[in-house]
Amino acid sequence: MAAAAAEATTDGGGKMIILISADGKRFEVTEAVASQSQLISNMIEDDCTENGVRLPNVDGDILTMVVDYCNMHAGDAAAAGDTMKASSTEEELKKFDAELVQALENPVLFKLILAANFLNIKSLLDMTCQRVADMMSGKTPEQMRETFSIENDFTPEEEAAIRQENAWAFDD
Amino acid sequence: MSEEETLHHHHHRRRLPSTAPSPSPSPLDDDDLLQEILLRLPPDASTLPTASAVCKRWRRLAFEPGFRRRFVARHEPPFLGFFFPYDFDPVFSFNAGFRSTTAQHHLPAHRFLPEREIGLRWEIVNCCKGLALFRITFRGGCKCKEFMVVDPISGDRLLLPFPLVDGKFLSATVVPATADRRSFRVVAVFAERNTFTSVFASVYSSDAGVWSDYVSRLCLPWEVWVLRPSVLAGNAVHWFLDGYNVLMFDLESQKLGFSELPLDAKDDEDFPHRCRCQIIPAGDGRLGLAVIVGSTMQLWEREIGDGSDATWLLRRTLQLNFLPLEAEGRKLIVGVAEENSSILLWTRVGLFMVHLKFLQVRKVYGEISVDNYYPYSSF
Repeated sequence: MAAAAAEATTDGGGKMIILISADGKRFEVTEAVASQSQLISNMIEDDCTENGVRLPNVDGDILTMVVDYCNMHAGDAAAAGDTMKASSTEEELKKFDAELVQALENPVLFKLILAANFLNIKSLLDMTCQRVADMMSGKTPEQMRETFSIENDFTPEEEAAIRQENAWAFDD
Repeated sequence: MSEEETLHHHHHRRRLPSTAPSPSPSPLDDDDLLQEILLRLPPDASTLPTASAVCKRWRRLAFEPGFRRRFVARHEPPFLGFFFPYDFDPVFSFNAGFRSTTAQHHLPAHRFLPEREIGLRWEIVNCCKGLALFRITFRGGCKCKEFMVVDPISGDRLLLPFPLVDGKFLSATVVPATADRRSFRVVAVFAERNTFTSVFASVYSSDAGVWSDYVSRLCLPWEVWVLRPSVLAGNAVHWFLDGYNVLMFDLESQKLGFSELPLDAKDDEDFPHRCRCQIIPAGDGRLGLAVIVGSTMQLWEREIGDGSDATWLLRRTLQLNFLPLEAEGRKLIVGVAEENSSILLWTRVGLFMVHLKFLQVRKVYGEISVDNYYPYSSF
């Protein structure tokens, strides 16, 4: 961020860059916001964001969520020196994250994980993967297959052997 | 390690295409992302067995050594119960037993023990990272010398002959070599008959399927008769000897060695004091020592300098005044749950587990009054 300060900076945010979704929607965000994505941060360092950053893997509706998330979390690093401000935003952030993640259902949640993975936004990836893990927990193998449309490719013999091996674990 | 590192860096892994043409790609189709998700499952005993029963790919990913290592590093394996030297079973009462301490999983005790066949007698020797080692002393009513390694989670039991050495058996330890525990080593320590001042070790490798006898010999300035259950710290197995010494076997160099305990914690003539000491793994591969002093517990750590010189540092002192510690004359620290950084403490109101990092204390149910517990924790 110190390097960006040499350019014409608006307060705290640095230069603006344009993100372009798969379906051609354009999002204008500050470098500080976009840099939470390790992918974009690297592009900024390599000076290749001039003509906007095309994200052919991310749809506009998903990118809207990602940009919202990054806008909310952009304060994290900036406010680190300001304890009062940091603590007040921390509450808001927790609430924001909890509401975001609670509202997520399967197709959107999965797309958001893929976007967080592609853009390499660690905290968002962590949060969304945790959400899927929470959805899995407590389910039997059958229920997992049903929930996530996974084909059972074990032969009946293999399945019986696994059942036998794990008899105590499946026991409820 | 290197093999797994390359795996991590693409090649034979299934990867998402860099552009996304498929109608609804799922993170569950990407090996790395699926593992990221599985890593975040709760660390219950049933978690990984359940995930690995979904389909072949999930099974392969859940068993990958690198994944297991990350899972274990992220979560402590659940404490499932403990072995103890003598059960109250009407038929098998001279044998070691197992008691489950978890309510949510009904772990049948027989899974943890050698098969119950008439005329079979066994002792628990140690358990480590999910494997339990037994010594079989009678089979069909006749004396015998065998070891048995039991993996209670997978249900595997493996019988090993005793090494062909001439000496008095002191102790042994099983150490899993891989995350799936299919590969392991057993280190057995014997004392020279007649003198008891010379000890030697034999090592069994499950990969080779044979014992290497007399791999290391060590003369000691004192006699060794019994060894308490071992503690694995770093890459060495440690046994606490009465007399404030520690016998150790380095798994890498395959050498026996010994070290003295901190002078400050030492009081040679004081038997009750000895009941209050227990060696523990201290983290970062170092050996630690827990000593009950009054109503506190001192935690010492061994710092290894150059050569064999070691100094002991008093790291922390924990207040235990809320626990009614037993009066003199019996062991207070009755077990070490290595995988949970915890010790089992005997008090006048029963058994407690004290987490040495998080300083949590919790009551452990199913206690019995014995000096050595062998806590078992595993996924």
